[in-house]
Amino acid sequence: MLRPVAMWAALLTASVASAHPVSRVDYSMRAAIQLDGEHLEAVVVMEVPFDVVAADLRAGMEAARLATDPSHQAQQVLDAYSHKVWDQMGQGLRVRVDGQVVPGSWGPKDNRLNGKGAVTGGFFLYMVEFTPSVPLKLVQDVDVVIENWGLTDKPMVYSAMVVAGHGWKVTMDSSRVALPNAPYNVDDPRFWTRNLSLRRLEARFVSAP
Amino acid sequence: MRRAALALCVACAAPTPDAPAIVADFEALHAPVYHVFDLGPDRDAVHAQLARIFADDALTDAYVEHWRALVRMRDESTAVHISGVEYEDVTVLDMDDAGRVRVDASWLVRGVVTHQRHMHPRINRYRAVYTLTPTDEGWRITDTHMRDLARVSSVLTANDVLGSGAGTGADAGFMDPLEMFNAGLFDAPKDAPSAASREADKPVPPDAPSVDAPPADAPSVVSPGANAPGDAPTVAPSPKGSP
Repeated sequence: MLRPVAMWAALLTASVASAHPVSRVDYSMRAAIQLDGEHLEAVVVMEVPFDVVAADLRAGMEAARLATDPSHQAQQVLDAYSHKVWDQMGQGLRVRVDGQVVPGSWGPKDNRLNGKGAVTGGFFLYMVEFTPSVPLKLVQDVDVVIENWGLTDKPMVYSAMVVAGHGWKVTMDSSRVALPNAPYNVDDPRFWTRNLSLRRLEARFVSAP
Repeated sequence: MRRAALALCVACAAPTPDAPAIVADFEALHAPVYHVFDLGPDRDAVHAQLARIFADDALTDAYVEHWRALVRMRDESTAVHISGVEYEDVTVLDMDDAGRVRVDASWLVRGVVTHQRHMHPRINRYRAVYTLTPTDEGWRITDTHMRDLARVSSVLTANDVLGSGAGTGADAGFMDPLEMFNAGLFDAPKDAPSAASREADKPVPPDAPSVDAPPADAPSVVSPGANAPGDAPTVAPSPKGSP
């Protein structure tokens, strides 16, 4: 008969069968573009290996241990770190619509998983989204690009996805050059590559009333 | 997200169970089982802890299983810090004439394993059917049937990335970094505090038996072959109050 606690111990100590898409030492960067009605969503997700984050945080966390309120101090350290990562991500990102750079800003995406640790995968997750500072004209035929010039010194694997929301269909998706021409599957290693072409994700949408 | 418990007392002629109260009692009874990881292979402490949760043969089975796990962890210099137990769904299945209740429970256990100077966060999901028996000291688990167990996946789908990302069920595979801090995951690498070393640190009377040997006067409640694999530990739980 299986017993919860014994099996918990067994599962705990077993090696990780499935993990980060390619390895546990690489960062990963995934860009996503969606056009939905009159809304453009441009999101970039970065996964940072546990060991990297742990090493970055160690000094601050050790200091937090000695604080009067360790949890409060640790939370401040964590918040500062997350904002640093989001800022680093945003600094290297740019959005173009129909060839023109769109003024706006990248900031942390309001998502409950942002900044959390993906336990099975062995990484921390950081997500940023683009907020244009001007109204976008999205009519008929729209070309959207996310350019990523940031964090080039990190060992990185890439993925990307383009999604047509209400009122649009995708006629071109540059990621198809490097990724399988199949429904996107984040759990499929074929959808992760070191191909640097994915640092520039271009998608063309046409209206589909 | 945890769903509400439902009473499915279809065939029972016995008293209708007060499902919400039983669910609350079950969770309060069951969660402390994980405290045994804080005890190390201290037989009296482990037995006392389990006796607050299990009874009869289920207590013997639980003791053997936990003892084996704790000894193995000691031998492998492995330590476990449980940071949380979350019940996703607890359903009262039925109640018999004797007042025994069966509950179908699914829950998550979150924790950090320290093994050979490395720390690994883990989130596991379990499902089991338990039989709860009323005793003078409250409910006790008297039977366990494990239904399922798995590492919780932390795969992020397209729905998690785009839009609000709400309600995709991916949350379970993720852990808040503050929880990791509290579990010591960001501490400098160090050897797992072995249970043996903790045990050795305790003051021990000169005539105290070894932790691996049963006390001379302890009743052998672990029958050879009774749910115990061949390499089951030979130690038996000592009676309450014995040294």
